Amino acid sequence: MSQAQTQAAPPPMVQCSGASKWFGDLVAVSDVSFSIGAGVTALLGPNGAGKSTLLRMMCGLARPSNGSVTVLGNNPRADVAVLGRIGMAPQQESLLDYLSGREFVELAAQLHRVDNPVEAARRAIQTVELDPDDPRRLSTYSKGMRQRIKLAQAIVHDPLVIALDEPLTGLDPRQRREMIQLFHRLGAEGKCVIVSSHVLDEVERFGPVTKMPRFWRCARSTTIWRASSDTWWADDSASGGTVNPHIYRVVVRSQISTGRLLALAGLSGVAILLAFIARAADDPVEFATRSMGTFGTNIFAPFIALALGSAALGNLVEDRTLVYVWLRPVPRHAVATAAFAAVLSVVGPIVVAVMTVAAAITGVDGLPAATAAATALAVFAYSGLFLALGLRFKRSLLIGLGYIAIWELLMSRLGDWFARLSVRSYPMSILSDATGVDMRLADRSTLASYIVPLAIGLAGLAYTSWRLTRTEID
Amino acid sequence: MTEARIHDRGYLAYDGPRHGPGRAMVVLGCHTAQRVLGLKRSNWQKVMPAITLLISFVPAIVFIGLAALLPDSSDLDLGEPTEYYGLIVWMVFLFTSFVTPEAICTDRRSGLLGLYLASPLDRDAYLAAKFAAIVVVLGIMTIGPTLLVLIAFTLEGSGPDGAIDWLVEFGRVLASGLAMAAFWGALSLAVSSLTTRRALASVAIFVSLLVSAAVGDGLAQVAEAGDSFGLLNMIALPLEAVYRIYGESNENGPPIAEVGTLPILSTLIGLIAVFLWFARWRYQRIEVNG
Repeated sequence: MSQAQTQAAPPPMVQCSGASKWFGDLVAVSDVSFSIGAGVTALLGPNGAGKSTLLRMMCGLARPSNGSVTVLGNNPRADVAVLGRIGMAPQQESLLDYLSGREFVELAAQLHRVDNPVEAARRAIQTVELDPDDPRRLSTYSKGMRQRIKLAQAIVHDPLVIALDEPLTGLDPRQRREMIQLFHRLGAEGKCVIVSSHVLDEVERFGPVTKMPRFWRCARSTTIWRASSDTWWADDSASGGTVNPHIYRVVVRSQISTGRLLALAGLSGVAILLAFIARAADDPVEFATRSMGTFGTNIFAPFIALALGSAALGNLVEDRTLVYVWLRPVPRHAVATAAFAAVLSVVGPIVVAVMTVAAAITGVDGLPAATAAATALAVFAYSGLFLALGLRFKRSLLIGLGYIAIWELLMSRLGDWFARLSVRSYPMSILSDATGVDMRLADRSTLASYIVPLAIGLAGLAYTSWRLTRTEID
Repeated sequence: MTEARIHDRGYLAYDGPRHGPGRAMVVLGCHTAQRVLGLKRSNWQKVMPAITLLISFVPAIVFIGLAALLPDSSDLDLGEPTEYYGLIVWMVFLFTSFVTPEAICTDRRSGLLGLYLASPLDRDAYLAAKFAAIVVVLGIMTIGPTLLVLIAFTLEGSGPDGAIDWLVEFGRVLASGLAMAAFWGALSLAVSSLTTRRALASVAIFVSLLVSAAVGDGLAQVAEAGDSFGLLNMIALPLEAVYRIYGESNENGPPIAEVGTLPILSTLIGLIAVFLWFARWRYQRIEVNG
């Protein structure tokens, strides 16, 4: 028996076993079974054949409805550590537009805990023929540049499995040639490069193609073409991930915009104006307590928390850029915690500081401390609430506005039972206790006034964490 | 030998009648009204317009029902017509905040604005059509119920006495409804011109109305200039204007009730003009990419 015959078959890097995926009545992928090793593999099929769905299942972005998909022997959906060995360039054009190209790729390197993310990003960007020193934001990039920067973030951490969804779209002929050569180079280095395309001509350029011996049944037919033979792959264990501060930075960056800063400045100005009005009022205690309570906990805190909280993860889900977080070995609960911390750290200090200063201007004893506590609790509760809302609903801003207008401002006046389910009633009670001005919407203990808003905020965070484990990017 | 015929006559230019900008404005206005009301759209889009419209008509239907069912409706105290506006003002407020930004925000976000401007419409005509559509839709809420009550009471025999009185009452209903619809429609147009995001415009309208009420009433209560600051309250201003149209004053209302009729009506008209001017100014500067 020859040596070649005794050698065991190379372990597959990607393996699908009877994998299916359906969305309601729509079957996207049906009973797919195959295994792929190193080299360049092309997925060829018409639009809607299920190529992208298959790639998303390989990268843990979607859960198979039936069967299994394993990458490097692990389930990419359940085991976030294996994501450290996967790189993906999704089909969608949306990117984290508020970052520059270098920041975007650096972020990917940081989330993958690459030792020297700056150098790794520079190298990856140069590999795709972009300028690593280009300071422009991604929003200014052309279609071809966006495609190449997506490739750069997919390879920055030197992954073993690289999934590229329509990677040549928008590239000029020379760039296409260069990219195809790059794919071959990566394949020759022992990586598993999977490229999806619906253009036969494009797939043929990957080299001498071979039709895969096994086919799978899809909603429409999809065919695998291979450009090189299997090679040995050695598993040297994927690295895991923990809470990552880079997610926090991304969310904070995404929340800073001129419009929001203007809104913050405008509402802060109104708070200070109300404080001066209260100071000149006939009954400053009554007016100051009511205006700080009404404005701080009914308008300022909820609306700023709504604008930032609902957008923190909601916008990432809506424009599907969450994929650039999902593809990294970061636990989902860490993403939720980082987003919550980001919202709190942006909204909290500003709103609480402004309201406390405004309360101090009124000159009413005990009001600044009570306002600080009431506003902080309102911010905490509303931030958790709207973070969860942003993840749950697509029209979260409108639904949140409806919640504030109809439930918090209208229904909570209808009686004790409604008021108990209103967030604002708790901080209002704290202010009433402090100054003796009765603004209570319902009778409640001091302890409850502090505990319930904290519980609401934490419940929002817990829901967000749970929801993230179920969220799929389509 | 087969006879060959050429059936393709090439490009045929349209040589039928062409309507001008007026027709385009009517079409755009109708389309906008449909869109704002959620017609031919998903159920989700119908919820808010349907709820607010329904609730705004509920008191009118109750009034008419009571008048019809009770044997002697002349003893029935249904309050003044102006009180009706107090009942529905929150619904108009919600409608303005949630629904009307749909009229223009979506066109810019989806790139439809470019398509409209490629038609006989210019920017002014576009805005005029949008404003007219918003006022008509808001007018359903602000004119519809009171007009319904007026007609029902007239038919039942307890309406205004004589044709002149009836016409005066009818004129008041129209003027009151139009004043409210035009004010909030213009405000909505101005705020919505600042953003392409409908939800953001909704939040901005909502917050600006609440803040104006808090600041206006606050200043009116303490400042030396007194009640005139109540004119800043953009929720109370159109409502108080309605009272003045009926020759009354909202005595239990906010400090604006102490201000004279002329300042109230001129502030209302002035603000409508400012809001419309602002929306026009914004649209003259918007670059259309879509």
